[in-house]
Amino acid sequence: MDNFQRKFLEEASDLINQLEQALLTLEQDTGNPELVDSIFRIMHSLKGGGGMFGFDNVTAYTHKLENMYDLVRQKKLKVTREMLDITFESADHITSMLNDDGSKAAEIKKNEEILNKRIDAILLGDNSGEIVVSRGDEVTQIGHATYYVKVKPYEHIQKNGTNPFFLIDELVGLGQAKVNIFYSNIPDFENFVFDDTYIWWEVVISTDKNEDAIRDVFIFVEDDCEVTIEKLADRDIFGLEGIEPLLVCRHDFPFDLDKIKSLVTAITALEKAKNESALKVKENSGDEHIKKFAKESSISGIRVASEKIDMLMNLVSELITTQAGLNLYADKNKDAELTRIAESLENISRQLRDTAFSITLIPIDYLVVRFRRLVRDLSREVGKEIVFEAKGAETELDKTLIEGISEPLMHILRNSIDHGIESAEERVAAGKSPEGRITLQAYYSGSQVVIAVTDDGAGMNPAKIKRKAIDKGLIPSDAQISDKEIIDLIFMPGFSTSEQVTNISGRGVGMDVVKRKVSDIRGTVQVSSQLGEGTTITIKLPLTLSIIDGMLVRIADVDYIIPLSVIDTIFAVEHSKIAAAFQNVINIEGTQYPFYYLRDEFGITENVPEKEEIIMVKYEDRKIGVVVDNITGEYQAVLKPLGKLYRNQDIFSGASILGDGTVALVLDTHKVINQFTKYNELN
Amino acid sequence: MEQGTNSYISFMLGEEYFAINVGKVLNILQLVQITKVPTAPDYMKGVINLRGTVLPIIDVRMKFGMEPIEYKRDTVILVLNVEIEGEVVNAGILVDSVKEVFELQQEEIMPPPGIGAKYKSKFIDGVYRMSDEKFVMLLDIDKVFSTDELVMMQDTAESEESKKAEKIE
Repeated sequence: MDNFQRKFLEEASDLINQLEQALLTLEQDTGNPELVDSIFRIMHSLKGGGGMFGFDNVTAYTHKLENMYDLVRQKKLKVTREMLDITFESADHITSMLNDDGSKAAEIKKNEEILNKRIDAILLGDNSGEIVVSRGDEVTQIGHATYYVKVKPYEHIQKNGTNPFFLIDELVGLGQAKVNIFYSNIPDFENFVFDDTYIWWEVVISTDKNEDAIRDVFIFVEDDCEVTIEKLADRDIFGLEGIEPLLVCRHDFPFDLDKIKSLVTAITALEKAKNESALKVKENSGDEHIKKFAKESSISGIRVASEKIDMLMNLVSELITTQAGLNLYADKNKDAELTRIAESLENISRQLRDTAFSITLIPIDYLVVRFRRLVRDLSREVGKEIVFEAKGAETELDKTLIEGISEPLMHILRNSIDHGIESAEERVAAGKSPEGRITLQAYYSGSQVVIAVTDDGAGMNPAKIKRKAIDKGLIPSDAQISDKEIIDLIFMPGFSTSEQVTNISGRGVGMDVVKRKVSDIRGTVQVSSQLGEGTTITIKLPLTLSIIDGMLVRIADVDYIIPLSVIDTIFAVEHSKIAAAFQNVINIEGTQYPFYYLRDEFGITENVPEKEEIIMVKYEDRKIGVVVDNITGEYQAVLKPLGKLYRNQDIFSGASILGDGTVALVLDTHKVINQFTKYNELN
Repeated sequence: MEQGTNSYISFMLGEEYFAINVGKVLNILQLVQITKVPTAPDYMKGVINLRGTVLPIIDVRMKFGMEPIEYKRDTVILVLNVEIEGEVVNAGILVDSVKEVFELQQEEIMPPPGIGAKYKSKFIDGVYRMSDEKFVMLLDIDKVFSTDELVMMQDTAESEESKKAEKIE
């Protein structure tokens, strides 16, 4: 596949995304002509692109769909549920055509036949007669053009019985026209010859006839008249925005042809830029259309390969590191000029960093479209009425996070639809509205992004979950645990509350997979549920994966970074107290904390300090201490991978380069605790 | 072996000469402060900052099972691109000193010695006889990096360090 085709495929998947979004909105607001227009426009772009890049099957198919929507645009068809269904399925169909490597050709063909039949059924409905008419209209519109005609009769023209007024009348009869009349040649009364002709005309005419038809008007007066015909545009220019003042009829004022032409060229180019068939601009709504084109054609974004963005981010990271080095050097040298330069450079680097990071951010809305579709399809499949609502979809996330969060969220939604929301009858019996509601809410919270999925379904039944967990041997049968702890059991591997496995959510993967996937991108999942009222699953994510707010700590003269997000409290402790601790449990201010002495775990024995720091980190619902030599301070770390050679050392999530050029390792306290727990069972 | 170049760079580990095809070598660095990565095997000395990226450093003496030594003024880091499990990564190796770059014709390379050799032949591409008593071992560095195995034959030299390294792995 060549580069252009790949570009087109990217573009097409964007278009299909837009199409789905427009369809979902149209479903709510079937009478909205703007939505129909935008659907039509998307089809048109798909059709055009498909043809250009060799996806002829796509072109042929979208043409058919386009016809359907054209009829809607012309108000000859109404948007029906069937039509929307067909279009949704068409979106899938087009996607599979675009992605097919030939192996699914037969399946696609079969699918297409079915869809074609359904489209035909709609097209041939009660409107078959009108379709023919509308086709006719289209053909004549395509031949539309605008001409400038200058008619300068010779003085003697009336001598052979020709009335030039009739010629102008006939000309104007060919289409829509504006006429300027020129009296300037009329002589003084003394020199005036009664039956001579002194006046002449300029006509701008828009017609579906060709130039010959215009020439034919003057066929019998060729020798009596000077006729100049010039084509102004391959379209009807009347009604175009801004053309009106140029076509005012005033005697003795010629039309400003250059101005008209340049305006028309500009408008045409604008429309072309939007891949839009200019010829379909309807006269009555022309102005509105052009305004819209003009608004949309100012480029609001460009497509950049993600490798280039990654590269930019790497360079920015390096710049930040180098900047830190420069600051350090400037501080040491106490040179006012150097400090000034370092500071102003830092200001710029900061802005550059913020801008570069904002480039990698994508609004959650990008996913919401897919989710709407999922909810729509699945809720129908299971026969439930479910309203899906997204709040804060403009919240932006790093693109790698968007990719990583898509699947877990999808799974949570599936669960809500399948297990969470009850059937309409059950809901009514429970005194709820028959329509279920799933809300996705996203918002910023400090340096985190929170995404919460709430359903107003049946909620989780702790008794049922507990029984299941006991049956599956996940907990002992006499376990005394709180309801919250019980609900957290759904995150255990191999847990599925669904009584029977359905093809929606009971596919063997459960909430444990959700949890793992979310923690892969350094996020956390929490669930809260009220029996009978619904369930909320909350995912918390870092804003970006490449920068972390950390605490710089030292162990035996080596720097480590612990993410601030996991740190709860920090206490200073005497080493003697740690050395005396039994079973790695320490009593601080009346509370018992389990802890890990990192020097031991890392096998470092020399130079033990007298006073050490114990950092309480959050581990699931507990607080666990990790002991370090001392704390240097907060540090915003640019995270770098440690590389393949250190793949076994996964207690480090990466490394960061400090201002003095040395490397600090970033501790993943979760993994530290997991790994060392093997030797020292916490419970 | 890299195609298109017959140039090798030779270096010393203890009393012995080794060489790596220059196509594999990106850079030669002075020894800088190395950040140790706890829990890693001892021969993996840690990481350094190479112009903004994190570069892992391997002590090949320890990897080869030789006695570790104090790093000296001559100790340098050879930055290599090595292939590990099909992925090209950068890594640095610590060598006692770098000697020279020399050209070799294919026919000058002798097959690795089999029985009785000190080093396992699968890590050695070949041997070049520089002078009567001077042999240079041409290393297949990708293989060295792809394995946790010791490069030196177990029975000829075994150090405490190498045993330890293996255990941690």
